[in-house]
Amino acid sequence: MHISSVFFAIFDENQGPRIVYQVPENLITTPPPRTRAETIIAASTQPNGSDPSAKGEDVPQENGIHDAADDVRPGPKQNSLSKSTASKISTSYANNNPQSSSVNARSALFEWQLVSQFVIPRPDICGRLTVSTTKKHRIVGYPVIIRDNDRYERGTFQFNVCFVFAKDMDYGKEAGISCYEPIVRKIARVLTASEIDQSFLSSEKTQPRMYPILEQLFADLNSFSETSIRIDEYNSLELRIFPHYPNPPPVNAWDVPVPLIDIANRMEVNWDLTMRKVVPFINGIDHVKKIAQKAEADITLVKECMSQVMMYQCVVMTDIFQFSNIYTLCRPTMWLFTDPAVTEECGPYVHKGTGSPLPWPRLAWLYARLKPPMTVGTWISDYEVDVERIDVRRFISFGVIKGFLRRVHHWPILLKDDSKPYVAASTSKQRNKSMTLPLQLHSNRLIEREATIQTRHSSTPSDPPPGLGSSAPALETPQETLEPPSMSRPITSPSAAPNDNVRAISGIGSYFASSSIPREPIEKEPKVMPKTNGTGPGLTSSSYVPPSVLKSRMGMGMSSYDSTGNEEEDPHAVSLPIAQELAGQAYTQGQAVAKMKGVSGNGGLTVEVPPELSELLDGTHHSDELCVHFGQSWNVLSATLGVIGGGTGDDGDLGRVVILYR
Amino acid sequence: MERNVKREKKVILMGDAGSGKSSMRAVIFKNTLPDLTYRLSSTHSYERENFRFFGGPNSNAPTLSLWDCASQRGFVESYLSEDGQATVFAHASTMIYVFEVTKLVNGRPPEMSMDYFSRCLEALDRQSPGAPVFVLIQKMDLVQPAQKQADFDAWITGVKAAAGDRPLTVYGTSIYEDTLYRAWSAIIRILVPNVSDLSRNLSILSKSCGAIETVIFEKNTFLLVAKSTVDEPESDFLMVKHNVPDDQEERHAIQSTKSHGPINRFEVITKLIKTFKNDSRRHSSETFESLRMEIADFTLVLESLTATSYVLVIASNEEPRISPEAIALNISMVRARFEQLQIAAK
Repeated sequence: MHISSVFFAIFDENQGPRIVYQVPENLITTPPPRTRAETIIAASTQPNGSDPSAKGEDVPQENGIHDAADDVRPGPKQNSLSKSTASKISTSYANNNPQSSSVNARSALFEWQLVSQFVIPRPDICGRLTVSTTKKHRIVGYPVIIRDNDRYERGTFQFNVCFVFAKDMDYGKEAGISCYEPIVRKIARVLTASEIDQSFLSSEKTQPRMYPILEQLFADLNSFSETSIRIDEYNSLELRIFPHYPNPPPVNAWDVPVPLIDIANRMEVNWDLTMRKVVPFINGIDHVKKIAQKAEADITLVKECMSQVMMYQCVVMTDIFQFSNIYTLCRPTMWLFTDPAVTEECGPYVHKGTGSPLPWPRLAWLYARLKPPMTVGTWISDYEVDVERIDVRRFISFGVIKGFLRRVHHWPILLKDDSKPYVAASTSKQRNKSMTLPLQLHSNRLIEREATIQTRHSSTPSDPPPGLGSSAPALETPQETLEPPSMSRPITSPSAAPNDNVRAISGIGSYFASSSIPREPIEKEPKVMPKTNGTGPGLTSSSYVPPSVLKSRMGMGMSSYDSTGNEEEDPHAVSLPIAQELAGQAYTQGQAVAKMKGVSGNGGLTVEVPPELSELLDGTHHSDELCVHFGQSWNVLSATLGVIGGGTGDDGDLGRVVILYR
Repeated sequence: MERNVKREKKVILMGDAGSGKSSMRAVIFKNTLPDLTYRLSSTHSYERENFRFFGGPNSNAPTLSLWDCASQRGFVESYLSEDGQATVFAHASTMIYVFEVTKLVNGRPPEMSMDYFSRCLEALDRQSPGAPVFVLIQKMDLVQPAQKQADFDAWITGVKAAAGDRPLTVYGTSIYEDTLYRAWSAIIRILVPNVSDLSRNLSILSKSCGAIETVIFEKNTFLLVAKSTVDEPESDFLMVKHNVPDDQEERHAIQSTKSHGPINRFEVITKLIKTFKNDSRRHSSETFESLRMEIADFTLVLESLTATSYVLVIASNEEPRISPEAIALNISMVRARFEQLQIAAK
C-alpha cells in the first residue's frame, strides 16, 4: 500500500507534542500559536474572509479542504478570524516556508491536533504499536519513551516515527497495513538504540539528520518496498516489506479456478512439477477434479497447487457452470451495479460473436431476472437471451467473480423414519421380521399416500399393531428409552397437526424397531410428506427403516406396486444389503424449513444408487459436490435421489429426499 | 450533572511548563517527599484527580477535583480553543496559576508567560465568572534569600499588569519550604464555605480548654482549615493581595494583640507532621494517630476530630496547668458538633 506520509514527532518540553519533520511537507497541519498581539490585530480587521495580516510564523492563509475538527472558533476578540483560518493554516515548525504552504494547504491530510494524543501519548501507552485513524487516514506508529533523569531536563524523552496511509474503501481493513507493522517496530527499535547510545534524536546536532532519513524511507519504501539506511556509525536500518496475504480458503474438488492473470506466462522452469503440469489446464471452465484427470496428477497435489495460486490471488474460485444452476443477486452488493469497473467491463467480457456488445442496462436487467428457483436454462428461454451474442457462461461467471451474483446450491437431505442408531448387524433378523408383517406395511403405504392427513390414524386398518395408534409426542422426546410400546405413547388427538399420521407411521416403525432390537433408544421423527408444505417442525434424528419397507418404497417409484410387499423381480429394487446401507442414518437437525420441489427428476431413468450416497444426504453436501464425487450430472443425480427418496419420480417428486436451496 | 457539579469543587492548576505543578500536587495530596518529585515526567494533556476532602463521613461529601493541566504550548492552545475552554475552564471553583521564579527575563516576567496568563484569566472569566485566582511563584528555594523579595516583586508587577483589575492573591512558594502550605491552606479555605462557623466554634472550644489557640487541619493533606484566633494581619512576606476584599470571617475569631509566635507557625507544623507521617509510614506499618506533648513551655494535643480533620489545641503552661487528658476529653465532647458542622457545610 502506498505510504502517504512519514513523520517524526517528539514531545517538546516547551511546545508539547510536535512534529519535527514530515515527508512530504506540510501534509499534517497545526494551527500556529497565536499571541495576544495577533488577537488584537485580528479584532480590528474585517469580520469575514481571511485575515490578510499575520505575524511571526504565520504564513498567508489559504482556504483548503480537509477535515478540520479542531477549529479555533472566534471568541469575542477573535471575530474576524473565522474558522477557516486555523484549520487552513499549515505551518511546519521545521521549516517556515511561505511558498510551499500555499500549495500544500490544499492537499493537507489532517490536523495534528486530532492525533497528537495518540502519536505522543501518555507514558503508559508507549512501547506498543499503535494505529490511529482519522476520517480518511490510518497512522501507524510505535511511540517510545526513554527515561533518563540525567540526560533529559524533565527526565523523559518521547518520540515516534509514524507512517500515514490513506484509508481505502476497497482494501481489506488490515491487509494493506499489516505488512508495515514489523517495519515500524524495527524503526523504533533502531532509533531507540541510537538515542540511548548517543542521543541521536534529542541532541541538536544530530536531530536534523532525521530529515534525510525520513525522505529516504518514504521514497524507497514506496518505490522499491525495501531500503537500507545508515543512521550513524553503528546503526543502520535495513527494511523490506513482505506482502501479507491472508490464508486461502480450502480448495474443493468441485471448485472451478478462474485465472485472473496469465499464469503460464510467468511460469518458470524451476516451479513445482505438479504446478507446471496443472497450469495449462486452468481455463475457468474445468473444475479441480477434471483438471486433475486431464493433467494426470494426484488430486491432493492439484488441490495444493490451487491453494498456492489462490493465496497469491492469481485465481478466483467459482462453481461449475451448468444450465441447471440457479443464481441469485446478492443484496448487499447492489452498489456494484453502479460501479464503473463493473458497468464498463461487463459488456465486452460477455460479448460473443459479431456486432457490438450489449449495453449495460440490458445486461443489468438480465442479471436482475435471475431468481431462484429459475435455472439458467429456464432463464435463457424465458427472457429470450440471445445466446449468439452473449456468452452465458461468461455472463454468469462475471457476476460471480465481481461479487453481485451468487450461486444457489441444492442441498439434498434424506429424511428418515424412526431412528435407531444404525446397526449393521441385525440384517437377517430384520429380514425375517419384515416378512411377517406385510399387512402393516400395506397400511403404511396407504397412509403415506394420502394427502389429507387429519384423520389418518383413525382409518388405519382394523388390526393395527399396538404401536400404531400411539405415538409419543414425537418432537418433544426424541430420545425415548425402551418401554412397552403400548404404554409409552399416548394417542394423539385428531386435531393435531398434519404430523399426526406421520407419528402414526413412525409408531409402526418404532414398533418394528423396538421389537427387533429391544435395547436401543427409540427416537421419534415426524416424516414430512412430499406434498405438504414445510410447516413441519424440525426433524429429529433418523431411524432405521426395515429394508423391506425401503424396498417397497423404491418399487413405489415405479407406480407398479405389489400389495403383498413380497420381493419381486423389480427392476428398480436394490439388493438387501445395499438397501440397509441406504437406510442408514442420515441425521438432520432442524434444518428443513423451506422445502421446495427438486428440479425435474427423470423417473424413467435407470439409475444405480451408489451405496454411500445416502449417507451424504445430510444437508452438508451440496449437489455440485455430490455430482463431482460420483461423476454424474445433475439429471442423473436427481433421478438417483428420487429413487432413494421413494418419490413418484414425476414432477420432481423425490420422495423422502428434500432439497434445500441456500 | 448539576448535583454532581455542586458537590465537586473543581480546582484548575495551570501555569508555565516545568514550574512545579505536578510536584506540588504530589507533595500535598499524595504525601510524596519533595526530594522525590524529580521522578515525575511532564504531564500529558491534563490529569484530573478527585480527592475526598473535608466533609462529612458520608458519601455525599464533596470532592476536590484537581485538574492538573500540562502547559506545553500545544496543550495550552487546545485549552484556549472554544471547545477546550468549555471543558477545562467551566464550573471551576478556583484557579491556581503557577510561575517559576527563576524564569525572569531581564528582570521581568517573560512575555509569553504573561500572555498565556491573561488569556487563561479571560477564559476563566468567561466560563466560571467570579472564581478566585491564586498565583504561585514557585521554586523560591532556588533564589538566594537576599534576592527573594526582589524577584518576587518583579513577578508581582508583571502579574498585576496582566491581571488588570481582576482580584487575585499571589504567593511565593517552594515545595521544600513551608510556604507551600501557606498558599494551599489559603486555597483550601476558599473551598470550605463555613470557615467562619468553624472558627467560632473553635474559639468556644479554645476558651473552654483554656487554650491559647486551637486550629483544625484537614486530615489527608494536613492543610490548615480554620483557626480560633487571628492575630496580626498576615505578613506581607512573599504574599500580595491584589484587589482582594478582606476576609470578613476573621472578625469572629478572638482578637488578640499578643503575638503567638512566628506567623508561619502553622505551615511549619504542617510540614513537620507530614514529614513525620511519611517517615513513620516508611519505617513501621503503623499510621499516625495523635500527638500529645507536655513540656515546659506549653501543652499540646493533636488529635483527630472527625473522619477528615485533625484538631490541634495548644495550652500555655501558666498555672493552672491543664492536663492533656482534659483537653482530649473536651475534644471528644465536641466531636459530634463538628461533624455536624462539616456535613452541614455542603
